[in-house]
Amino acid sequence: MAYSTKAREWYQGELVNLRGQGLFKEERFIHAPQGADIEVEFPAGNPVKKVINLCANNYLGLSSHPDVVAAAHAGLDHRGYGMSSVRFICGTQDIHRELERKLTDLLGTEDTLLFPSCMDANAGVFEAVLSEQDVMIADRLVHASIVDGMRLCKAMQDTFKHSDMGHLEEKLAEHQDKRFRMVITDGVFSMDGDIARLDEIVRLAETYDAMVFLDDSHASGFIGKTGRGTQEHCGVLGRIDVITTTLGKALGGASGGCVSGRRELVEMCRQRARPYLFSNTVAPVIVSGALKVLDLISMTTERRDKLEANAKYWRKLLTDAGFDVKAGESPIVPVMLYNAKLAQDVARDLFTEGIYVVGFFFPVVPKGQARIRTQLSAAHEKHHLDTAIRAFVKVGAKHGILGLSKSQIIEKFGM
Amino acid sequence: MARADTIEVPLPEGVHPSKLDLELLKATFQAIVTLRTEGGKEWEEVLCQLERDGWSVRWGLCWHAEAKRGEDFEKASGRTLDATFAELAQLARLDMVGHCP
Repeated sequence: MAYSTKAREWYQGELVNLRGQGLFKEERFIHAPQGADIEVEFPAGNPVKKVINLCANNYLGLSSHPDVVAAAHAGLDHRGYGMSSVRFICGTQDIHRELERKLTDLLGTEDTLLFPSCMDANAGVFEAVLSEQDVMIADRLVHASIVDGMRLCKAMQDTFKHSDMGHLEEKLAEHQDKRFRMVITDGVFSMDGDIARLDEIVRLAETYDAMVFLDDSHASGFIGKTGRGTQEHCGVLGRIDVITTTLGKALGGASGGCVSGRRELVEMCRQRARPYLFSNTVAPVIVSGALKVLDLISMTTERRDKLEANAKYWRKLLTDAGFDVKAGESPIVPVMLYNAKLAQDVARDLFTEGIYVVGFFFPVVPKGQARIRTQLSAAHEKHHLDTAIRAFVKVGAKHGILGLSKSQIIEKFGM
Repeated sequence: MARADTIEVPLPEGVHPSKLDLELLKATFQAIVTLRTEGGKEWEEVLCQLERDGWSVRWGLCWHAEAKRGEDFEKASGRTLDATFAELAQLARLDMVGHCP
């Protein structure tokens, strides 16, 4: 038997260590469609509990929208369940190209290529367009999938301090000897919810002859006046060379992602990006749902406007209640607790109070930066947020953290 | 005892190596000789095969550095210590945090 007792015991030990370090991830079973109110079985085997969901990426509240579900049903009926193929053999339907055209319009680019996920898009794009003569210069807080994609690429890797334009300029000047330079950033950073200084990045990139890469997964569909993303918010529509984004968050929340941008770069991905070449096509049912999502958000900005208002209202509620909240404008609102155990305890107590949030701590976020990450949705009504703040205040009072500054929390609980 | 082959390298005028310099030179040269002579000849066959397959191969001795922290492991190589550690530091930065999904 190849899977020896020695191997089994080693893996069992590793899993025990993960539990000991508080890093073991346990799934919570949801007995309902995704939405503001969900029913959760946790821990497994416990009775199902009704909770308000404050941790989904369902920013526009479209994950279970009846029109999207109906469009997906119709897609299933007319285009089938699966394609049993990668795109370039026999996995491309008319609706795949239609979705790519609509995403191109939304993002203000020249062309778009669908991937099974944005994780796959980020894993494949750099290797497809850069080589050992080039350099990638990434913000130090970019998404993990970008880090993985950079590792798969032969181009030189470099980073600049988070949102530090002076440091980025130093790096761009330092790498003038390279054939191509690519500046890499998230639009909205998933840990802190802050928005990239994309206008300044574009200005520097134009000065120093560099391409700009943007992962707008936490922005597409709702950041910017008409929801076209960080490039709209920062006034640089049409000036980003490569954008990756996901259909798995605001744009319906199912799965799928894309690379969008300059025509030649997208075509290079079609020819060379391994996750595109060697993964199955995005299922027709998802493509059909996503097409409806794009129709819905092109008709009105009502949902992104409501999301913006919800985020503003929620930030005010938390701040007025005395929580230490990371400043920002996005619907990612981190409540800073600094101490890992405190973050876990607060998340657990909030769940008991009917609020579903998750505590993040090292190594997901830097040491001493533990927090509860709350995420708003257009599916939230005022009553959801009013109920949630009452629970937050009750739990905050129990732990004695209301009104405390960062240094006071650290003094009381440690880092 | 058989006489060992030796190489004499004249130092530039005005260069006066210390005892430590001479020890370092001796140790470095011994390491190069060992690497060059005790590795067998298989590498030459591999090199030839790669070139027959159309690869243009560059090779040489270089600095090597490794860093390990828990599950994270990075290694880098370079022609100078500065270049090697710069690359190692860069790779380590990519492990800075696990990132939120």
